[in-house]
Amino acid sequence: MNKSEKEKMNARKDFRREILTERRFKILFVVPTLAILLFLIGYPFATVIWSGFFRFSLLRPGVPKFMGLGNYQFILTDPLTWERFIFTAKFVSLSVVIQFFLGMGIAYLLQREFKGRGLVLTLVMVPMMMCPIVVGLSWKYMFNTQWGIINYLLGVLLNTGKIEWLGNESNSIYAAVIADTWMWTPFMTLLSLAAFSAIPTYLYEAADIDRASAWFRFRHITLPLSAPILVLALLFRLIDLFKAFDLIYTLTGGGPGSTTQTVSFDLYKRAFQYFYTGEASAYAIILLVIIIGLSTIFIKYLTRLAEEQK
Amino acid sequence: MASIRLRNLQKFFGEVKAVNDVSMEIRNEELVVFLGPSGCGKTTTLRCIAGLEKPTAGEVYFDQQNVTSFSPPDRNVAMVFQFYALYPHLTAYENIAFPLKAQRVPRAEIREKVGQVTKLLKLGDSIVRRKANRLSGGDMQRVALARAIVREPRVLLLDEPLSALDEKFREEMRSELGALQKKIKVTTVYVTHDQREAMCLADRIVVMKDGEIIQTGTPRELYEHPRNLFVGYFIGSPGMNFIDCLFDRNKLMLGQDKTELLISEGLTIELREYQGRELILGIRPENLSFLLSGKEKGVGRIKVKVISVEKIGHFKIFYFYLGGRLFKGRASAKENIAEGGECSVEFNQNRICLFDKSSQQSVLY
Repeated sequence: MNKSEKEKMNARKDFRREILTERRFKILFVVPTLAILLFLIGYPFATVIWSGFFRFSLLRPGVPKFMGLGNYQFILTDPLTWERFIFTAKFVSLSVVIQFFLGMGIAYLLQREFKGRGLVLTLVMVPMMMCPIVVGLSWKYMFNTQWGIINYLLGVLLNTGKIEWLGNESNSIYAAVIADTWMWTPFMTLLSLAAFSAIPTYLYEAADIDRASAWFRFRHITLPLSAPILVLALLFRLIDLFKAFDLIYTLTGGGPGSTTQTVSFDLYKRAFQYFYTGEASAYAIILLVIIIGLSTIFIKYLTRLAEEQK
Repeated sequence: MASIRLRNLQKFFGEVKAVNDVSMEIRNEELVVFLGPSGCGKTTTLRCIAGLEKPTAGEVYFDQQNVTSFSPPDRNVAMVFQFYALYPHLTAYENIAFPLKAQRVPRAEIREKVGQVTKLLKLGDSIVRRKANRLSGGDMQRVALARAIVREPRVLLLDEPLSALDEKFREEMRSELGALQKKIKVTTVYVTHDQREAMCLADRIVVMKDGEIIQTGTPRELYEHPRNLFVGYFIGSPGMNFIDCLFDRNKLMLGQDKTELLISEGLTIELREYQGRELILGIRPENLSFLLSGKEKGVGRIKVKVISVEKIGHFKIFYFYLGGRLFKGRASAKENIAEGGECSVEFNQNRICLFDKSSQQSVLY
């Protein structure tokens, strides 16, 4: 071994020991991810917060005018905003409750082994895998007052008259709920099934021996033991429904009038139809706070459930 | 309380015959132990009695009632599962109260009954209030038992209830369990693979193997008169000594080297049909008495060389070779047995077991 080779080896050793220490090596791994995250999330988020304090529009270049909390004040005192919130609350709670019970019920029926169970399961999951825009459009045609299949079937089966599903203020919310329920009940079913099947069979055998009825078993074993996953599923649906936009956009277009506009629909209009960029930013922050608030409540409840079952 | 009758019970899982034509009767208030190695069908039989398995064929009767088609809730049986199957999200109290609550028993009555069984099983307040999955193994076992007996079932079924406990505790629970069964007088079926548990607890033992009953009898009958090689082998600890032998007039020729063992007149008469037949001799260690060297002349006596000696409490186990097989003998601890020394051994003529080599069935009695 000549001298220069030895030096090279030493240099490499030094490099490992002093320059590329374990700590630095770890940092090296994290930095790219962090940079991308900052760029894709941190920067836009900061921009939104910042824009919320100004009056400006992306379409009208010029110096943004500082408003302080003016945008927030404007939004929260606007009666139209409250209409959107009330509609959203109705839409969300109605859908969530129906989907929860329906989904759980279907899961309960699908628990036991039967012939063709795999096929039924797959078919049940199909709506969830579709594109919301397509679902919205399909339901729009099905709900058509004159030639939609819903009115046709109702007419044949129940002899009802022509129901104005989408053109009538009080009906259109149900149309939206029905379409969303059709699409997202499978999600509740899927998670309920997962929760149910995680319960060991021997507990049901023990309950059988203890002479528990089917309802008692469900109430005192199935439900409490699957509660954490069910609550989680509920949370997912809640957040998702709160953001509901695409399905409603294609189904009702927010109408009739603006009666089926959810808050996210409203946000979309302010941001991308009127281009009130500053106001829309403030609006987005308000929605974010609400969602975080809701999630926090649920997650607290969830951790308490998990604690109890430990 | 009820008696149980199994008639030609069969349970097949596909090709596997888990229970194959089991018939037997369990008397009212009796404690019967199903004993056998794992996979012998004892648990499946128990589950058929509970109604958790539907038999492929055959019937289950409680008293005179055919309950074969009954679901578990309709049979009113209680069961302690191998791993207890407590409801993990409920407290010990709620677990014990569960079967009562399921039957809508009034709350005051529930409290009273749970109080009674927790007292009976010595479950303290601090234990009763704890979540089921925070209990120790022994307490889980007690709670499972309490849940089973809280509502006066017709039959109590126990599926290896002690197997998840550690050795020391198992012995304690075993005796408690036996005393409890006598106290509450419930017809009990107990499944285990541990022959000591069976010997201690059972009024009668049912030895099972490959889905069939091999022998039924009191622990003593099974111990002294195994009807089959398997029973002799499975019951007793330290186990029975076995050796191939040939019967020739008034003696047995043991092992490969045909060591001669003179046998009593009584035994000779019993064996008269087996002249020249290949047999297997079985004898328990305590029926091989230790004699000093030089006393090897006479019926049932033989000269051997001691290989090693183990002292176990108040007795000694001594090992020796006979006909190429290692034998265990049991002697009093006072006996002075030298390792490597010669001595004589006497086979207790009344306790010799002889099995036919091909059928493995006992040729005596």
